[in-house]
Amino acid sequence: MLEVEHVSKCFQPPSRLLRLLSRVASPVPVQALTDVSLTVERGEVVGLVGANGAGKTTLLHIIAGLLEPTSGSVRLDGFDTVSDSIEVRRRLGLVIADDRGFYWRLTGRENLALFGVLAGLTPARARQRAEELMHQADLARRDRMVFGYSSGMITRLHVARALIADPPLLLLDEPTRSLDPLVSLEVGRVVRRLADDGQAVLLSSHNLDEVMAICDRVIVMNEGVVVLADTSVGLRARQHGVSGLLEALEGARR
Amino acid sequence: MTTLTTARSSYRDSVLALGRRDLKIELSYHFGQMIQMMSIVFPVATYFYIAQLVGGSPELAGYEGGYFEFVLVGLVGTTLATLGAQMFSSMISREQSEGTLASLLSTPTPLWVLLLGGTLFPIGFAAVEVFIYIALGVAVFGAEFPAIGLLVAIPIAILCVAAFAGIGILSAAFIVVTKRGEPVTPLISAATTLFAGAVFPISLLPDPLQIVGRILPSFYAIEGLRAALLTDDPFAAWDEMLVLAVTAAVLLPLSMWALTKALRWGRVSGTLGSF
Repeated sequence: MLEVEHVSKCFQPPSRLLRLLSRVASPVPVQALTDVSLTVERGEVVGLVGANGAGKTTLLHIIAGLLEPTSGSVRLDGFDTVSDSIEVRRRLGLVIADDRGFYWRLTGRENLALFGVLAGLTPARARQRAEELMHQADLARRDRMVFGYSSGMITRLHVARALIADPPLLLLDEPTRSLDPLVSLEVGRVVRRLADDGQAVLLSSHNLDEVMAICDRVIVMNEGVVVLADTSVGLRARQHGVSGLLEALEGARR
Repeated sequence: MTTLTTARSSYRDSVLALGRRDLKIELSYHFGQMIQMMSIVFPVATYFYIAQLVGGSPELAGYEGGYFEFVLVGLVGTTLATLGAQMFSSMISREQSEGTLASLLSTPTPLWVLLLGGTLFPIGFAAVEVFIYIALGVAVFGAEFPAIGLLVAIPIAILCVAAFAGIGILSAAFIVVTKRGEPVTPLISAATTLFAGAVFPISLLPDPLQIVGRILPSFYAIEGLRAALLTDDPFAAWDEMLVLAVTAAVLLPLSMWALTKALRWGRVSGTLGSF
């Protein structure tokens, strides 16, 4: 399903001319990912764990086609994210860790229906699906213009949007960010159910308990490198579960 | 088991959905558009009274009607040129600052559909604006235009927007890279007013500046509109239409190439979502 092969990403500083035109984030090269390889199969939930700056979001953005890798390749159902980007985007739903990304002067329903059409649904089906997802995300009764949404509601709207066209692959960048513990648990259950129904899920999270609870496999990243990859069961048995993961992260930092 | 959607939306559905998005957003600002529409009255009235002062000028001998009709057509031409130059850069700039550019680009909708959908509302709004210019001029201030001329003006207006859309998409590409500093629209508007004959004939300008005017597509748009609306032969604008068509044919593919390159640069540099 998803094959990430030897992906590296180095953000080069822009040319002198571009630096004159606009201030840049970093004047020196930043190596964000180095030789990352992984696979995700249908029916599987894979968790990416790592500290801030570990490269999780960069990796998810490369898979979604929002970033191009410096080297290596990403293929989804055999389609390359760079050369067959439209086919790849047709097959994935993305949750970005950002409060922006919606039209704030439209309601949640209107946003979902719009992105449903852009994701390939007919307008009638997009409206119907938007309604279903608004109920599932417990947003239906409190729907209003998105600028009136709390952070938690926006996160739920992100998850709903990723599901709108029922894509085979879900990329979830911190899907439980800003959610209270009960709703986080519910999101975890939804993710697990989706995978049981055949969807492939790659999610990043800072919440180790959550990752160990819902993921089939866990990939630990540090400074753009995969430092540990194992099944959740294997991790629990081999390295004492969450504490083992914490040790792995600490070890990677050292 | 999840499957790919079988009943797919057409590109037409996507374009219309994007148009509806913009309409809903604009209507959510209850008075914004109304005030903008009302503000059209002021330049029309101002130029009507300037026309009373100026009267007939030998420089306007080639045109039917007086200075008021002359300048009204100039205002329409400037509105269309500004529309073409501005709509894409405004769209990209807004999507970047609201963080929706990355959301749109992560959908399977092709770039050209996203751009086309984003033009529906601005084009519709500009059409209403132009209608108000003409209707006010005719109904309130007594301007006269032949009905056949108004029909001939429509393809010229479309070509004008298409020619300037090429410039507008280039401007959007610039914004993708620099994030701000939309360089073209203020320049187009000012240059059209000064060099392209929007409010006075360019024959009044010194010779070198007349050359500058003749380089601008807005000169051909305004001259074409005036040929259709203010001469005995409304079909005399073939040359101007040809210039606008060639400009559009050259600039549109070139600008789409530039925008695609700029977005690719954004994907490589990781700045697509920043603003």
